[in-house]
Amino acid sequence: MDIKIGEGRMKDSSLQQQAPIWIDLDEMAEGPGPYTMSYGFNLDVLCESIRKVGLLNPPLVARNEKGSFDIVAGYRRILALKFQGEPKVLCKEVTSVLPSPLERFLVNFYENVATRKFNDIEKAMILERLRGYMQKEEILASFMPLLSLPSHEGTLEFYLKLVNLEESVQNAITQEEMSMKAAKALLELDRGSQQVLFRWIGVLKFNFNQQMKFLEHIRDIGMREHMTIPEVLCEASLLKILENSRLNNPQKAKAILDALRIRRHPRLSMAQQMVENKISSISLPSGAAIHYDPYFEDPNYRLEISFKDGKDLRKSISLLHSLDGLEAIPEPWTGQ
Amino acid sequence: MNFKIKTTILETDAEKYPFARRAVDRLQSLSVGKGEDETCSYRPGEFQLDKETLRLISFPGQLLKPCPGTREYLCCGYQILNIGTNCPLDCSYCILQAYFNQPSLRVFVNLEQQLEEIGQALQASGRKIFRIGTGEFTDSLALDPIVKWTEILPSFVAKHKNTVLEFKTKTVSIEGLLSSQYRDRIVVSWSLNSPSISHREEHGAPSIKRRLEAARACQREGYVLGFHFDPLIEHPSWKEEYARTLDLMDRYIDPAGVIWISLGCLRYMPSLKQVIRRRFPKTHIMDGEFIPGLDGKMRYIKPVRIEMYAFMKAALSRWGVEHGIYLCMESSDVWRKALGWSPESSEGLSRYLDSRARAVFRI
Repeated sequence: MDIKIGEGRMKDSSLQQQAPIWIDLDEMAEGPGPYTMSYGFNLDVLCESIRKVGLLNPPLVARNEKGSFDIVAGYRRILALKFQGEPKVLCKEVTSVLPSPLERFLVNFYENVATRKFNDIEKAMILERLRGYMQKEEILASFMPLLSLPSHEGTLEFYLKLVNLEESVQNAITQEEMSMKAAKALLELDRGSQQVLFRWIGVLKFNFNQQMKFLEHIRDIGMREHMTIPEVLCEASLLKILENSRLNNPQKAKAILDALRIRRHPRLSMAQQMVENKISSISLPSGAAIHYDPYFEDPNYRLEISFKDGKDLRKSISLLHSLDGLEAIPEPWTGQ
Repeated sequence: MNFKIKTTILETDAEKYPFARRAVDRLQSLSVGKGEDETCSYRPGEFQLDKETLRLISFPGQLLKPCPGTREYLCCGYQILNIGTNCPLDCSYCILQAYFNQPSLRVFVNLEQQLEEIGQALQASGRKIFRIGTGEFTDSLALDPIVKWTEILPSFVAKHKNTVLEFKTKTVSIEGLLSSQYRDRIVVSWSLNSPSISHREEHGAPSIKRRLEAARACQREGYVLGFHFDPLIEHPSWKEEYARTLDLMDRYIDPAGVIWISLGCLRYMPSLKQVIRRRFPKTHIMDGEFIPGLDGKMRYIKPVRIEMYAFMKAALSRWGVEHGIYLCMESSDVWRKALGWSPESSEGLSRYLDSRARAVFRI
């Protein structure tokens, strides 16, 4: 749609001149309807505001084909009034002022974009609605920047898919319990896998890094061992950790990730364990530590000595010199 | 050509170059449009690769650049002649999927003009050997029937005695080479893999047998050959599988005419994994134990790489290749354990391959 500034101003003034009327809340169509874009919000503050000072800005509504009213703008306000048991609301009826669905949608969009930040699910809802009205190119050029998103086709495609995620997953994203990266990874999987993985993430309350490791390990293991993701996650060894009452949630999360890491990288895990055992069996003087590349790409170990002065350094070197068992530190990957 | 170019686009200024006009003439039956450079940018891997569109472009930058390599691993000191980007083949492991941020097959039509400048730089470098390749950002020969690089580059090399040019391909598009009068300091090399990896992962590429038949034809016509086992991929029965390729090589190729064979295990930028998973959901190439290497790329754990390289080295030695086997982007300790020696540094590796070029071409 070609949105002209002049035309926009005319609409704006028409809207301003529109006299508010009282409408029964029962006449409002159920749900957010086709024009609103609020998701995952908290009504408490708005309810409190309405209780204290009343409704300051009348919502916009338009009559639909069924004879009830769709909310054009002010979904949360109307919800708050319903929540408080109000029977009526003072609204502006814009059916004839904003005849087309796109105009109604854009009025609400521009009202919102100027006054608040959208969460990612709201952005997804907006983009999905826009997709019904216009070409991708226009969305990329005109709307992605307004939503603080890069004008990349891949990003648009990803957001368009977000609306297909289950509501519980969308809620987790909105409440920042699930990272967008994890959501992206989930979207590449079938619905059954999404559900079971999301359940595990929810139960174990993985942090964002852990979510990605969990998803990557599970997916790799399933692929390599020709198992579905639900099959991997139904295995007794993992369920046993999940049901272990002696472990708290963070301990369970760590144990699950360790088990998956060892299964995904058996040789690396074994080599790491062997080196770690050897090094920890050596009684290094205090202030001395042995470091190594956890993946053993760097073939060398590194010795670090902290010391107060030269005398202290000599003492540490002397202790190191006389230490038994240094020769037992293996070359990484020995025995692999 | 077993791929289709449905659309050809001449981008800004391209039509003034004879190279572009000749290519368009060869593509006469196809629709040709004029286009501007895209204003819309992409994130690598986030677009349809659009391998059916050929964009003819005047490239504003330098076309000859050293292979970027990394400090952490030994690099061979190769020079990349950037004749185009992206490739009509569709190998699942291809790093280009996550490397470039622009779609379509792109060919640089100002090549001949740039070669004049490049030639001056080569001449000014005296006896320094330039090993130049065109097969890093695209396949060296896949588009040759359309753009005829083989009519331009060998004659250029003939004029510059310190230059060796390598055409690196997976295709059998050798007609241009066979009709060329130049052979000196031209290496024609094929990327090889096991037959099963080739069949499952190298979409659109001819079979190993057909590649080796093409290599044999080139060898018979007096070309020096090279081979690249890169990426080596750990897969079920990989030893038997790679041995099958060696058997085919033995059947078709005289090892005495091979200048070098590189070995490199599968490695990838972390961002490529998502792209591969999305584009090739059934592939098993990422099943192995990968770790982040010192250069940030994912690679197999060392014992796997060493075992694969050592196996290949032994098999190639049995076949009759003693010189010119080298590892691509590996560390000295892997060299020593797998091949029994190490050039110790990138400079050392570069000298080793230069000496190989001097010996084979009597430079």
